Amino acid sequence: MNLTDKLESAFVSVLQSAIPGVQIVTGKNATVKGVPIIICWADGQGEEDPPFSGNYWLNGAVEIKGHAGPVKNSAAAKVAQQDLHGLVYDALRVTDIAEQLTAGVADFTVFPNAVLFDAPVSGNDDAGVWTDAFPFRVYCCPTDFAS
Amino acid sequence: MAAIKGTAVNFGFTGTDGITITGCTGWMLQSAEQSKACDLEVVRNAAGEEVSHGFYNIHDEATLEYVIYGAGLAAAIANTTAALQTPGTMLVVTACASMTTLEGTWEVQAGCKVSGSNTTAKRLSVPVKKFANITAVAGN
Repeated sequence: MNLTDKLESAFVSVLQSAIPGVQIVTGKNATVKGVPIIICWADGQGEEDPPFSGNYWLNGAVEIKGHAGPVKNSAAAKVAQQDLHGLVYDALRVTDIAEQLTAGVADFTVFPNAVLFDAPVSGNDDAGVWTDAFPFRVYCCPTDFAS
Repeated sequence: MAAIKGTAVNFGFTGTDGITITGCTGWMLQSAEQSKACDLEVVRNAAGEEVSHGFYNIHDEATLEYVIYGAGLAAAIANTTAALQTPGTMLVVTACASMTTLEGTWEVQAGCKVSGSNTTAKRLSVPVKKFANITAVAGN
């Protein structure tokens, strides 16, 4: 499993524990998807740091996709999206998120305090799907140093 | 040849605020620099070349950089007011998990600085030194 897959799976693991009953998938997946859904994707950023270390910064985001509802932009649908957003926020914005991500998959380490979140972003598409996202930067490597 | 799959580096500062100093609250450690310092006695030969070095008064010097915060906005301002340290004040670092060499009793030097602007949080810079024989403020 490559490093980006591991980070995606680690976020899925953390969120599945905190938010049961909601479809949560990695960015790379072959799942039949509906809404609401949480997609965790990651991508590399720059060269390894420091050189020849095998440690990398990865970018990515946890995206929450929800439907605007039978009546476009209905209040109930917006509340549901906000509630799900709150659950994701409470699961991710904790002091031990690095340790939780490390424990989420095998042969993987997120360095302590090395999970940096950018400002949350949101938007919607023409099909009436809302997207709220938590962009992140994570410093990690494909070895388990915790054990 | 073994594959490169990561190197265990000491990243950032872990723990509450990154460091624990007795009596100091609302200081969130951002960076720390620590160095070994000393005085030097130099002996030269007739040609002026240095032939012997005597190192003495070996001690530690450090500069700690913080962002000041509080339980509320008023507390953050109060902590800013209290943050400016008088030279000679003793700071007792009881814990710094990521740089344990910072633990111990430090003496604040001249140049403690609080800085701020309209676009940043207030920051505190504290230059300190640690001598084996200076562990408390001398009584009058």
